[in-house]
Amino acid sequence: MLTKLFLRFIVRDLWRNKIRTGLTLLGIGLGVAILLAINLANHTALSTFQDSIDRVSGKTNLEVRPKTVADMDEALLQELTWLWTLPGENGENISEAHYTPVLEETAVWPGQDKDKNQTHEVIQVMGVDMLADTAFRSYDWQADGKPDSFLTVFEADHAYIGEAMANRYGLESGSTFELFVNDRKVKLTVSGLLSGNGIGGAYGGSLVLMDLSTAQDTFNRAGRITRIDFKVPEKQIPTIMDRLTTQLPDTLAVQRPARRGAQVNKMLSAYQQNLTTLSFISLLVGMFLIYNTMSISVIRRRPEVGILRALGISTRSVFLLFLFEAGLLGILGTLIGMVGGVVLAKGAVKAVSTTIQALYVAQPVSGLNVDPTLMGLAFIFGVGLTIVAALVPIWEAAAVSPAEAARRASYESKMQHLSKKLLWIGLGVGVLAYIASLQPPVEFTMGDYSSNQMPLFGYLSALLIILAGTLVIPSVLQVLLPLLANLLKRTLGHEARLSALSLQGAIGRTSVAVASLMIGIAMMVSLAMMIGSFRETVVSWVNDTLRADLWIEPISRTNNKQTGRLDLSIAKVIAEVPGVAAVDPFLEFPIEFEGDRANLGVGNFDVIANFGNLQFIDGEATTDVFDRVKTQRGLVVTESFALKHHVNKGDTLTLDTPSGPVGFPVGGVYYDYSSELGYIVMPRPLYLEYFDDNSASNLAVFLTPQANSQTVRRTIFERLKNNENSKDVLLNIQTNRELKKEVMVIFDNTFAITYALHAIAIVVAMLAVMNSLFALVMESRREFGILKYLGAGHQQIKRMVMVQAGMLGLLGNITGMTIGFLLALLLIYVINRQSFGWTIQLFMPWGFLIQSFILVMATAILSGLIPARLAARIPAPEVVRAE
Amino acid sequence: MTSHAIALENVCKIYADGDRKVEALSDISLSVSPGEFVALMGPSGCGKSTLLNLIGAIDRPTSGKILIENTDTSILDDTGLTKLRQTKMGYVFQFFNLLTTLTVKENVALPLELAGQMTEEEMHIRVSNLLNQVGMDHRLDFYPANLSGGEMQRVAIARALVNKPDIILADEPTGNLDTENGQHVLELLQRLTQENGQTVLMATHSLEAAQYAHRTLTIRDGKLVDNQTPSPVETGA
Amino acid sequence: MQKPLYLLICSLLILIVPLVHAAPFQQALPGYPYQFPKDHASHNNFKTEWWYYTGHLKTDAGKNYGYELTFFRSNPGIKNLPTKTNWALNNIYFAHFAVSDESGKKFFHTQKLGRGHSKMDAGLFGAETDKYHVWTQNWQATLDKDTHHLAAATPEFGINLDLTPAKPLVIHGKNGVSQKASCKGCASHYYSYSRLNTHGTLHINGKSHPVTGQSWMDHEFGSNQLTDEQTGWDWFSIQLDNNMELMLYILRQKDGGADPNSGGTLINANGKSRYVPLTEFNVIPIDEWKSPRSGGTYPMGWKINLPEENINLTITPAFPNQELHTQIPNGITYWEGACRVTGTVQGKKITGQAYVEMTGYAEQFRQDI
Repeated sequence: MLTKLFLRFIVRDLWRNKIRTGLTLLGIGLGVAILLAINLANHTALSTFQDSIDRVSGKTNLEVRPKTVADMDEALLQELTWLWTLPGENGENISEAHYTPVLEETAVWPGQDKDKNQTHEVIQVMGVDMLADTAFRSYDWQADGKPDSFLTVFEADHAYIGEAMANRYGLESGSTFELFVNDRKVKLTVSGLLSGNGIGGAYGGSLVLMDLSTAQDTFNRAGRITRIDFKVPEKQIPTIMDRLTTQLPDTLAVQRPARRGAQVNKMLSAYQQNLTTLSFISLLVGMFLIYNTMSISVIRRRPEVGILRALGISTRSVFLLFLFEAGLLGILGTLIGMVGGVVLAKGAVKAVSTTIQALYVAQPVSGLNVDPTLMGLAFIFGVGLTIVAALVPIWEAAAVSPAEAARRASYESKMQHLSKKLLWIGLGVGVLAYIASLQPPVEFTMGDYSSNQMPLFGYLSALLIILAGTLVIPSVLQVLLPLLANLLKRTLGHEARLSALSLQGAIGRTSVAVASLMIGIAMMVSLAMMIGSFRETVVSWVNDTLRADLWIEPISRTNNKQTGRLDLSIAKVIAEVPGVAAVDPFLEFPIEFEGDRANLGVGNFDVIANFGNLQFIDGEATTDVFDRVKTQRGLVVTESFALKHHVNKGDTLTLDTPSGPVGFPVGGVYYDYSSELGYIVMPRPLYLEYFDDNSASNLAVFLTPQANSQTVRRTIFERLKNNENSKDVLLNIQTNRELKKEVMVIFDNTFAITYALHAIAIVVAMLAVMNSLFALVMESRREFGILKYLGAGHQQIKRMVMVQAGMLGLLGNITGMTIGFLLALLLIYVINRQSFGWTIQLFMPWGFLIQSFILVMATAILSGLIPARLAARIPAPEVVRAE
Repeated sequence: MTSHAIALENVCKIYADGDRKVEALSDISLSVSPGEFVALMGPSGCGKSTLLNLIGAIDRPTSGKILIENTDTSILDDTGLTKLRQTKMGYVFQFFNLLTTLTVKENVALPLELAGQMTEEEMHIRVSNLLNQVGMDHRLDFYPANLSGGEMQRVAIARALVNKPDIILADEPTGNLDTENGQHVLELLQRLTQENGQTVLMATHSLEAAQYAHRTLTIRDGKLVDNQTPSPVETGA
Repeated sequence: MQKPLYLLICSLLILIVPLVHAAPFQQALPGYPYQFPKDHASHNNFKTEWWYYTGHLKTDAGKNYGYELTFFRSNPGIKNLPTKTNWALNNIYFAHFAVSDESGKKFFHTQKLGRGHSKMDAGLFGAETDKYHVWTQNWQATLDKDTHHLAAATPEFGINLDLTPAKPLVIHGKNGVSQKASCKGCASHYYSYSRLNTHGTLHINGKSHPVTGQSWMDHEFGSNQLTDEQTGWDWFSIQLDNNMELMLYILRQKDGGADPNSGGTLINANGKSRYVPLTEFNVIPIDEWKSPRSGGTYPMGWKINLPEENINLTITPAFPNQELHTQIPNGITYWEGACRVTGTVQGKKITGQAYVEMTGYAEQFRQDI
């Protein structure tokens, strides 16, 4: 029975109101699609890393890797021989312990793929002992990819590659290919193709596997390794870990491979959380669309619900009917969203991996992992939140008394009465939102490892702000609408005043519509303000801080800002080029600090003090700070590092150096927006006292005032080419302007997803505008019918509808921009700062605000067109009677 | 003890409008015998509809007792009232109140479906017969929006009668109809209820309509002023 | 002449590098001037080299154990090796280690394979060129004056033995070369300690046992491989209680016959030895055994007689299943087992012990990687 009624009473109604139903479904769909796409992309990135770690670790259950240094000496292997004769735990003669050295390099594909698309894909290169490695990792060959001879891989420049990579670049056994590694181009020969099972599937197949000898030779890293993998009895791990930790220098980490997964996870958590939160916002707007649709549907159908009740349908059945309506909308919308989400996710993966490679880990991410759990969660969230959003209107419907079959308008009178109460509650919620925004981030412990911060109260505050805004809207409208009515009467004539009054008469419906608009616009505005402010802040930071006239980096840093070194001997060649005033060889590489990823930077402080500039957060001059750092033998850290690790100026920061832990005084904390993981920067002479690594990852070149950067760049290239040592060196040399531009490109890439979300926020906001208007105008048809009886012409009716639409747009703009401004403050000063540790200056994106104001008004008035036409067309008696 | 179809004892209904209290009905006592056709007259706002709603168990009295076939409705909970409406009552409204998304046939069948005791086929026969009797069998699959007012009211009467309720409550059934259609509808109502011995309580402000009743009750300002059969003298038909 | 295990590793390398043979390795040619103890050490100019120990051990409780510990060095002859590294694959080192529990009829075996490093030694794989020291991680053989020290350990079983020659070393073949096929240079330099007094500890299943016994050591190096006509070999090292030793090998040809280069060495009690050509001895299988694991059918038990010396011996394996399976990187399966000897020499009853190696029966000369 209920099914039949559902089909006739609910589904037919949805079908009759196709446009609104469609808009609603689209709204939910977009919300779910965004949420899903972002989460799938995040998940793909994480699961690629996790899966790669698993595949690369293979049977390894313990590893030694550099913690505060870039690599280690292979001679270390000799100190581990006790493992071969370690007694077993259960009376075995000896334990079954094995270890093997690994050298990892990150390379960049130098040009085109098979289809002639330009790419600088990041390729992971691993050098392993090919004679011993099958005991650690699983090797599986592509059908035609098995090497003819086991020995070819030991020949110079020979390598196995992943099947996926082979397919992408059209390689087969025997093919040669080139890679950018550090400041060189290397040429390799494929001696086997690894299938996606086993190690060949790591990093999505973007993997080159070489013998350790070949890798050291090709990459010029004789005697160096980056990891030692251990395969030891599980039971003896604690003992062995202890012994290794005691034995090995503090600069190395002894850990289970799984630890790396947890670290990556944690490192990316702030970035990923932020995306997830942003993606939730569109779902939130979707929810309001549902609330809006359902509310209006219930208000409109109150008399009919009354009839149903009079005919003997119980409260529970009415509840179920509308619950099913919400459920149906939720399910359809979510399904649309899930399909859309998977489609969008493909783009999102690309954007996410670009950012991750630029800012976090230089590791390839490819493919899309359509995780069934995430799909399931998206479904539950989509449908669940739709129903939650619809609950209030559903209760409203269930509470309709049979008497209302014959009565009208009780709802609106109730609403008039309620608005004062809502105002007070709203103000109260606003106060709560303010209090929540003052709270510190919540610390989470992830697994056994160090804690992580999340701006949970910030998120809560955002929700409360939106809730407060929604609650005060009826009161705001009661103030604004009469004002508007008078204003409009004078400017647009009498019909306009009538329109305003009719909106006021239906204050409940009008409030719901304006609230939906407000949320959509608020989301759009707050994101725009946040991104705009951030971008402006970075632009001004770039202008203040990036002073080098030429910026030189190894070719392999093209797409990966984490690794890649320069041959320092070229610094001398460059220093002698006419017009060059100073060269600062800057070294930066990822390290582990207190269990977290951070970056260590090494620079020439004299050069920076003379030619460059840093902005210290307490406003102290760079030269003063550097003088102090020099005398105190200290270092400086970035703001994000300071916030993450609770370090202040004057504190002592302990670094693990090859000669043990050393405390360095923190001379200053400076603004930096290049890595949320943060930098510790120390002067090169101090660094060299403790670390045996006199290399550079890039060179900042400062010119004499007369010199022309283009000319100097040309000369540098010529001199390097004519020098026997450096003739093969491949560098990117950017002028100051190019560098600044590139920083902004990286910034924009990083925010690509945010921009996309923003675009979608605009779409959803416009959907909200259309949906609300459509609903509102359709509900006013009766009124228009009566007006027609009273002699209103088609054009007048049309105009009235358009005026109503315009008014809604205006009200939405006013409320939305207000709430959007508050949300932007929250995003900038609380959420972003707590997540990333960045100080962002507030900039008002006036241009955007004006554009969006116009866009909203235009959309509002345009989306009034259809209902206006309808209202004008429907014959008056029918409208009046059919109700 | 006499058996009444409807009996009211000292029924009062007070509405609260903000802080103001409006007494819609005060101290109404009346009884209607089974099979009786009673007209409820009075000017607009006198409380006719309120009284009908109370009797029809779609609203509760502030005080007093309402007995439907000797059952005290005040002791019934929401489920009980729903059941009562479903089985004992049929309603005809001034504004027809057909569900706009249901066809003529579906609107009429709805009470049967709610009761859920008939097969699809039985329902179809009953609904077709009834729509035949009200002369609407040519519009079975029309939606209400495509019907004229008279047609809608005829469908509404069919819906009210379809589950053979003991009591039919009609609130200004001709209020939105022209004279000719109004007469037609009332004849239909009279004929069909007489055939089945159903009790009819009809609110109207039209004397012509009241003529179809056995007895007329008049309400003024929420009070029952008269209790008599209509005077044929006043008929202006 | 050479001991056929040498051929085994050569053939292994044929399979690995069919085309790489142009490297200018030194050839095993007649007139090689042996110099000891230097010649115990590694000869990296030759392509292939191995040090091979087998022996018969007895615990205090009188239980008999056989052992085999062999170290191989092989230069795969890769032409364009990387240069800026210490890990270039100049040599592959591997070792096979087996223990036969004669009373429990249990056979333990395992292998290690790996590469050398041009600067480091500890913990890896390698062999020194100036003094005798060959090792694969924690397994090693060293020479201290005359005493060979052997150590090898796995979780299940291990040995730690001192071996002292009871008789001088014997150079096999003629004029310092042991010819293995008719072509020039198809030969190796091959010598043995045919009897080494042995004592030390045997570790088995979580228990250590002091042991004593006698061992046999071979050292062989050369640069050429066996020919396509040869399918495998049977090799015998026999230590008789009268202090005589006999080494024999038969190179089996595809047609089922024995290669004319098959032969052996007879060592008298006084240490004097003589080359024994194929024409002077007969080897007649008595029984056969089918390996449940590899499916290969091996001869099991032999009658050996040297009519000119009036030697008649019966060789009986301690138990049949002494088959080794090696997986990484080249699957190779062969039988190498402790045997008991009975028979007569010059009509006198005699007993003794032997180690027998049989290859090419399981057709397991396949390449796994």
